[in-house]
Amino acid sequence: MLGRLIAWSAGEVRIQVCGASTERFLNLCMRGEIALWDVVRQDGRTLTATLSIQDFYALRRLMGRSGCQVRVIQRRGGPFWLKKLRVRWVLSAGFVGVIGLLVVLSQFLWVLEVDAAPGIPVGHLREVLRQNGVYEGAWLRSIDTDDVRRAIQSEIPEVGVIALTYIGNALRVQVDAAQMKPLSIDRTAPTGLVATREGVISQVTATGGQPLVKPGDAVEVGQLLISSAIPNTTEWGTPHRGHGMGRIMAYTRHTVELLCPLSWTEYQKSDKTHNRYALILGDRRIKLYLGSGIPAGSCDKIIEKTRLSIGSRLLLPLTLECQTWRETDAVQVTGDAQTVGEQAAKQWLSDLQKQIDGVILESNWQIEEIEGAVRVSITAACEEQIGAEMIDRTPLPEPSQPS
Amino acid sequence: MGLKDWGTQVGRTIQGAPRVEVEGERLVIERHRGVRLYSESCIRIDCPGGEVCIEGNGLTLEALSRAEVSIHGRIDRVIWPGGG
Repeated sequence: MLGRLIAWSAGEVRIQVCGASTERFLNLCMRGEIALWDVVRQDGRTLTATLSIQDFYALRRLMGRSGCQVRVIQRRGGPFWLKKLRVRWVLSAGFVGVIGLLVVLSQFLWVLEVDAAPGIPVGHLREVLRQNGVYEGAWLRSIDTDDVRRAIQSEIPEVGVIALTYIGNALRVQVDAAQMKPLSIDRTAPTGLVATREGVISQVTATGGQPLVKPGDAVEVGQLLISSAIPNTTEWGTPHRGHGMGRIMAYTRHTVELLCPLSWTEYQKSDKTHNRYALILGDRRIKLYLGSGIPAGSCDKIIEKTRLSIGSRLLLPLTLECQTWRETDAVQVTGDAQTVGEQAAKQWLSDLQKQIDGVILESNWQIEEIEGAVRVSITAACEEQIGAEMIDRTPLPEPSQPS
Repeated sequence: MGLKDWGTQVGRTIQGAPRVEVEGERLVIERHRGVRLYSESCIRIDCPGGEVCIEGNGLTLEALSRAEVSIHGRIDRVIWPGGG
């Protein structure tokens, strides 16, 4: 392909060769270092072939020996094209002008894409970018990506990794949220474990500190389960502070009352769709339809944006927006109390299982219908971890006196 | 060995045996000496060791130079000296 393009740029001539021995002509060309391509047999006495301009001039001195007649049927390529353009100077000037305009315009930033992670203030990010010379229409060479990166990091503390990628005359700014360090209590701090729920202890696994409860004990919310104050364990030892930690499993009970309506509205998709188009030029939006862009009835609105570009790298500041409105039908749905209540109870138990660090051992619910709604009373018996670390300021016990 | 055969052998040693390469609908012959016959159904290429005959349909000479000849078209059979 590249070879053909180079040959075309240098200029080529298509010839028709007619004679009794066209093979002799081909061999003469070969011996005379004349390269031929696209040699096509037309009939027993005629063939067509393509050769470069230089070879065509060289061919003229061999013609006497070949016994064939050569006729030019087409001239094509750069030199011939330029010769034509020399006459049509307005067209030439226009062509040069368009090329020049493309070169000039490709020096500017036409498209700025900001892709920020959830939690990053996009408005503030755009403002910081603008202050640092990154906006649609900015001169590309004036943008220092290192400076921009540093400015974003100093202005927006929530930012983690920043990636600035040039795609032709578009700049994509991808910003990731910073990884927040999880809150943790200093491992050397004197901490204890307190109960987050009331229940009956089923299992105590203390890996630090002094356990204060044993299986079978009933505990209340906030009760200290493992203390940081460790008494002396030897006759001459002294009490000291430790880092209380471990897992305290307990039988707990969760109860809740839910109130659910027995009838509600559901939107069902219909086959009726309407398409509306708009052009987005920079910050301006040009509607290609009449009326308002706000749907009158109930419908789903799907917006698809297509960025117009020349090739994959030269993006134009023009976006075609296609709005597809799919009408939806509002349908009133009524359920029976038993089904609605059971679904609500199962959903709540499923959510509870995700919340607790343990298992649901047993559950039951009662369903009661009241004036167009249903009341569901749910009780779940669980075995779960109820200990939570916190700073323990329990005074140290008195050291034991030797007898 | 006669003088003609000896000359042929020397020429073949200097120029080397022809190299025929087939890729899909394209056939390239290197170290050739010219075209003996060119038609849409048969092309005969003169080579140091003899004649290479390409039979097929819609055959065209895609490129012809002193170094190589490239043939395009539906190739049914290639006959070369010492082969079949």
